[in-house]
Amino acid sequence: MKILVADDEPVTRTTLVAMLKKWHYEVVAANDGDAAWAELQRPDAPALAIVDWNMPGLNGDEICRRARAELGQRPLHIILLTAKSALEDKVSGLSAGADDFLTKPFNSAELRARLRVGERVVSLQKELQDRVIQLEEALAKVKELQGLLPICACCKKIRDVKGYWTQLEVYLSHHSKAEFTHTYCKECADKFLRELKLDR
Amino acid sequence: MNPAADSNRPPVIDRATLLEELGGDEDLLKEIAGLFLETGPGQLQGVRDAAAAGDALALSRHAHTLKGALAQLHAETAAAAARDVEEPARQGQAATAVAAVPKLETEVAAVQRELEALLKGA
Repeated sequence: MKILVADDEPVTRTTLVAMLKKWHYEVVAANDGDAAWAELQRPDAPALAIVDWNMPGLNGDEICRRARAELGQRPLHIILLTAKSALEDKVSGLSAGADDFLTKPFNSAELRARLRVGERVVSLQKELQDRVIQLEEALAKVKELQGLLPICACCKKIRDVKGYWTQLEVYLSHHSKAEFTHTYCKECADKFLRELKLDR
Repeated sequence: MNPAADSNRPPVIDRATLLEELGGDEDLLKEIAGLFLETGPGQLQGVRDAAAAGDALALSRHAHTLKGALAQLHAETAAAAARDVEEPARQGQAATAVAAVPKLETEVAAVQRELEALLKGA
């Protein structure tokens, strides 16, 4: 999984990057808040981010606030890096949109455990998002069936949204799971038989 | 010399904890030691310059960065010395912060010596 590490302080950043790589994460590093925000705005941006609270450029809480306001529903789990004592930072970080915290100096076992939490949240979010997309597609098809369908009074063909006339059974099988088996109703069978006899 | 007081003083760098935190990776330990020797002096100079200018905001910023690096290196005494500069500076108490700078310089110098020894394999 891809992960963003944003910290201006080189010792912490290098340590984080080295450990994450060792754990087989694909790491993107940023030296300040502005570079971190630029990384998060890319279309292939990481869904996990470890962001330092105090950085030149954008601060960690500002990055959280912007991410929640501007990046929409895209899954993004943000872990804020803070000093051990800063309780008020944690409170305002959570209100700004952070998902979790890691205190400096970080402990590797704790870091790994928090990353697993993050991965779990991100994969659940992705699953939910895929499910929502599937449901929206299904709903769109149902809506097409429920709407006012233009039907030819004579041959019973249906005009679709693109303006093409298609046979009723073709239209229905495209917009639902219905399948058709062709047969004759009693009325048509009698009529057909009568015509056959007349022909003779 | 007071050996009892000396042994009560925490180590300049808690090397065992640091190495454990790094997953026992000696190469990474050396990499970050070298990194601090490269970047630490610049950060300390930032603290000195801000102190000389009486700029509390810059002083708190530079001391904060230094504190982060020292804490990550498990150099607890030096990290505490950085905090003693950062905290008053952040509250605008420039004089108190400036007064704490010499202690920070002494502690950072001790950390640098320790890291140099570590790189030499001591």
